Amino acid sequence: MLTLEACSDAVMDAARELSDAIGLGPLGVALRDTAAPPGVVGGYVAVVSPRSSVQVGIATTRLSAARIGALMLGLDEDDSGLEESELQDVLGELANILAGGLKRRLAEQDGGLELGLPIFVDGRFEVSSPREACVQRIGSDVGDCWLAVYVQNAAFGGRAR
Amino acid sequence: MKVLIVDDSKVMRALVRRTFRQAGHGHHDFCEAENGRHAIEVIRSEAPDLVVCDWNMPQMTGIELLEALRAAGNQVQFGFITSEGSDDFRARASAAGAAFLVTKPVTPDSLAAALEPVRGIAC
Repeated sequence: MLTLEACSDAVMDAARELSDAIGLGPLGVALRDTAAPPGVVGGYVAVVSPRSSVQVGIATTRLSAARIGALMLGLDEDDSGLEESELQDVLGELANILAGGLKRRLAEQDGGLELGLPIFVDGRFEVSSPREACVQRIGSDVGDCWLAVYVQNAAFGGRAR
Repeated sequence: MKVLIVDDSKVMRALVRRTFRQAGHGHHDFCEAENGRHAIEVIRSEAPDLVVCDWNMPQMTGIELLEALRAAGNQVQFGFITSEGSDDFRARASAAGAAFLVTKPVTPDSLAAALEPVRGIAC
């Protein structure tokens, strides 16, 4: 059974790996937050198995997302006028990579995890069914990002999928 | 050589091209497809020498694309760049005929190492 702590640590580790790979630079210390603030945009991916259901997400401001996109595409920051579809693409792909990183790191604990396709959320992301949640705010060279992990195990009484 | 990049993320396709350049392989010709079904059309029209493909895509996944190609007798060199990096996915990729599987986030070093055994891929 996956724990919230294990999932949060795995996502944070994946975020640092991703940051190194795209040249974002070192990430700041993760600070627990209650939720991402209003007005952010985010990408989310489900990671599910017969025993667990996890939502992995990354949210940030549109400006920070555009800066990350510019980094990924090798553009100058001043030229990073990403279209809305590209912005959604950036966040979806970031969430996809983080979710894959979580799955890889927790494969020994739950070998049945499968990844969903990314979704883009403009605004507040809320979950309605009982599950544990952890939102971590991290600083970076392009601004703050919020890493969100929501975990529901079969033990909570809900269906994992 | 001609390289087909298959990924439903336009940003990821651009990032893969950039990583090819950073790995010393920017001189190849590149074409793109946004999912497995689209890739089949592009493979038919462009006849790439190498397909570099994501795994999870709508309409047709990367592994479905590879299996379809091999079932049709197409032996084009094929590799995955994917967020799926577990041992069972690597085994499935290899069994289906993939030459490599690189996990995202892809780096110039990881891509360069994966491309070494690819025929005709000299820097």
